[in-house]
Amino acid sequence: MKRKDFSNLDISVQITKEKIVEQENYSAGSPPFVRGIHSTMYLQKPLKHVVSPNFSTDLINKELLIIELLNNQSYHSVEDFKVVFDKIPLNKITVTIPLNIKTLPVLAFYIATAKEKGIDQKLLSGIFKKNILTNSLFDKIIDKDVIEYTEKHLPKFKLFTVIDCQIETTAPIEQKLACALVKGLEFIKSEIFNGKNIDEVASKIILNWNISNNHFNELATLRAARLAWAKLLKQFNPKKQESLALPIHCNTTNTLPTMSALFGGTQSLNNQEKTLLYLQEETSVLKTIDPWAGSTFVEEQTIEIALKTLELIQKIELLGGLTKAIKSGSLIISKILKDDYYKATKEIDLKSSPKKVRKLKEIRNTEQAKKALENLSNCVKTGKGNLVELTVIAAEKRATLNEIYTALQL
Amino acid sequence: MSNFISHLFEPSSAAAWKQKIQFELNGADYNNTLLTKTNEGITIKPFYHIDNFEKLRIPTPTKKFKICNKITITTEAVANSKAINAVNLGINSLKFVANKPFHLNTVFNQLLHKNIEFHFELNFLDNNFLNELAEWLKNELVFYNIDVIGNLAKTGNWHQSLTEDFKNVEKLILKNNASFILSVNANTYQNAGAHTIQQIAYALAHANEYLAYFGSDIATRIQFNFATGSNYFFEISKLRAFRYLYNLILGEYNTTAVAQIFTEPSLRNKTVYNYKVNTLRTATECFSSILGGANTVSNLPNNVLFHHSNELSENNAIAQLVNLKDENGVITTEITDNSYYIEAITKEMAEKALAIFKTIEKGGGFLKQLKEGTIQRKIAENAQKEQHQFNLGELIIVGANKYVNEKVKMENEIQHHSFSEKKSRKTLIIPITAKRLAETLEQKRLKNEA
Repeated sequence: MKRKDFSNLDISVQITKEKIVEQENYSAGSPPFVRGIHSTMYLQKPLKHVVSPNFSTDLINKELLIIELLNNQSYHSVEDFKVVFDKIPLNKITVTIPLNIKTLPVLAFYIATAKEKGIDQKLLSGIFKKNILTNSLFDKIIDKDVIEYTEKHLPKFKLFTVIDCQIETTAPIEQKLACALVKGLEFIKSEIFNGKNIDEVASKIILNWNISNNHFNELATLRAARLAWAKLLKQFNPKKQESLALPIHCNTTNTLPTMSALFGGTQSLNNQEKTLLYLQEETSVLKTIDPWAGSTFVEEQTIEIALKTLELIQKIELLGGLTKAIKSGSLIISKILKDDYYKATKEIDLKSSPKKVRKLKEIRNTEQAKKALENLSNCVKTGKGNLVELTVIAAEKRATLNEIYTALQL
Repeated sequence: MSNFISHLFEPSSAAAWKQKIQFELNGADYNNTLLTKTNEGITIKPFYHIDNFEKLRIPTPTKKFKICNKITITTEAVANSKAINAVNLGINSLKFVANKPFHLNTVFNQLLHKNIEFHFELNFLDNNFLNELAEWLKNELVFYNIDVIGNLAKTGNWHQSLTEDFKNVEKLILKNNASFILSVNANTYQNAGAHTIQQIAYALAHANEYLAYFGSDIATRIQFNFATGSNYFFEISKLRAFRYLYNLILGEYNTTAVAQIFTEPSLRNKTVYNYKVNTLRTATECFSSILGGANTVSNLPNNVLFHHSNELSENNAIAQLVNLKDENGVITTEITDNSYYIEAITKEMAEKALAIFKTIEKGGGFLKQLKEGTIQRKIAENAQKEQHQFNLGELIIVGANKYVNEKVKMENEIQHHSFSEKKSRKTLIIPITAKRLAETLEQKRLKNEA
């Protein structure tokens, strides 16, 4: 057969989009922020990788990470902390700590470790994350003491309020989102009622989101969350545009959910695997902003989730708020949520002391430790003194995690 | 719905967005700071916006993708039990690799009439065996993957000779006109270091040799084998651009076809050290193939480079595919439709690949350029460029040239030769050989372990 001549062949390009969804005419960095909260996203504002202190320690420059400090039962005393943070320059890293009574000793261990390594605590950077859910009376006292201590000794620590919704993974996604956003909304209203200004309150809120396996649904949800949030906050007439932007933190396990978080424009990510390193270094997925924008499938899911969420929020508000909405039973919100919402805290497993702790107790100055714990315990009873300061002292005197918990009457 | 947000927020154009970025860059250069230039000659922009919308109409398959497990036949009984295991785990396509004819009744025991696709990778051309195989599988969907040009490209030699090879294939096509006899093994080009646009152009030019010889009737009877790398959106766009162009050149033959595409993760970016990262790689690679519109997607175990067959890693590779098939909501090629970024890259790839294709045709066609060594030279140019970037640490492979855990030793883990061997045999043309980017580095490291 004679060979064909392809020299005149050309592609034919179509420049009209048949289907356009309303939010497509917007950009990242401007309200309603559907495409992301910064105009350049990851190209200029690197994604923050949140990991536990023992995350593949040797391989990664810790300055690029945010180290998450939790009330982990493997940290029995300041001694354990000194081992974990042995070679890490504490003045160069950032830590994040959920702010509640349970993590108070952890904070104290961290500060004591820094002091013993000769690092001025004023140089420590960190993020406190306060969850509205655990906002019991006792936590309010802690808040006060933590804020006081932070202002005095930890100028590089910032306080954020986390909104989230721990409900069954099988619940419809807009229900989870509505629940989280409504909490944020109620928080804002109460803060404004207490005399705070909207720009100040709004700039300190983060959505905490657990990503499931439904890849496109999840990435559309993050876009929808920002869209709905901007619309909800517009009613408060903030002066700054950025106050309408909702920063997001995601928790993911394996590869596809991590990709959902990135494509959805998350600001930070908790993932203990190497997934994020691989995605950042090898796949080029962060080279352009909001890569799925325009996809009719994704844009339609985005608007659908946003609309359903706002509808649900309106319904909850008409019922008089989240608590009443749940009580009335008129919302199909799962049992787990109910329990979670009422119980709020706290089961601490006071395990018997392991060898290390027994050894520690042998070599420490027991008198001094006892005294420090007594002072802490008195502070809890009388409200006199600063809880953080006294916990740090107890930590320095080699009080153990369990002893501190006992002193705090947990 | 049309008035959901527009009464609250001013729309913002692409121009306004760019202006805002420039303002925020505070004097830094927009192009230097935010653009990414790739080896293909494509520039990834910081954002794609509806204002600059462009797309091609891609012919895509209507049936859901199949997930495939590849089995190398060592003994027939083992191959059969692996196949049955894979099917039980949810696999609906099987690929058998063989170096010599095998006993059919053992291999296919309990596998027929189950709506399973069968693929073959036979490193020999034996018409008697193939006819026997065709008879045995006459009620099944079969892909024989006979690629005599691909065999020449990969090994440097014909099975017998140009005339004999083409004659044998012609006989097979005439006898089995309903099956997929032919394939175009573009995976060879990827694994040797061709970039995405080269792969598209070479696959087209390669296929055009068959179209020119056998005529347009075989257009719907060719399977295209692609290897998938880790550049996620480029891999999605690669398959789309290829589908578009294949149909475009078929227009010259007055026919149309939705190309049949089979994909497998590339070996080029895989590693022996830190091999668990290979699992992350195959996860995104399989996913991007599906979104790009592969008809059949195959996977690799994470230790494939150095380990003999191993049930755990093989089952994990299967599970990765089964998850993609079942658990991640509805995944269809429609999802990519109208995505500004994917549409823009697809168009750019198609444009550039078409230009290469035309140059090849003008130069006498793929076979001629293969004989002249032009194709080999072009692939080598890009492969060397990538290797250089890898050596400098600009092209990163996690666990190989960044985030390296020096404590890990692999010597005792390695069960088979994981590095390409230099064979000094006489070939008709320069063969196009696979080369892993981390190969030399890992070889050195292994030597130093002792």
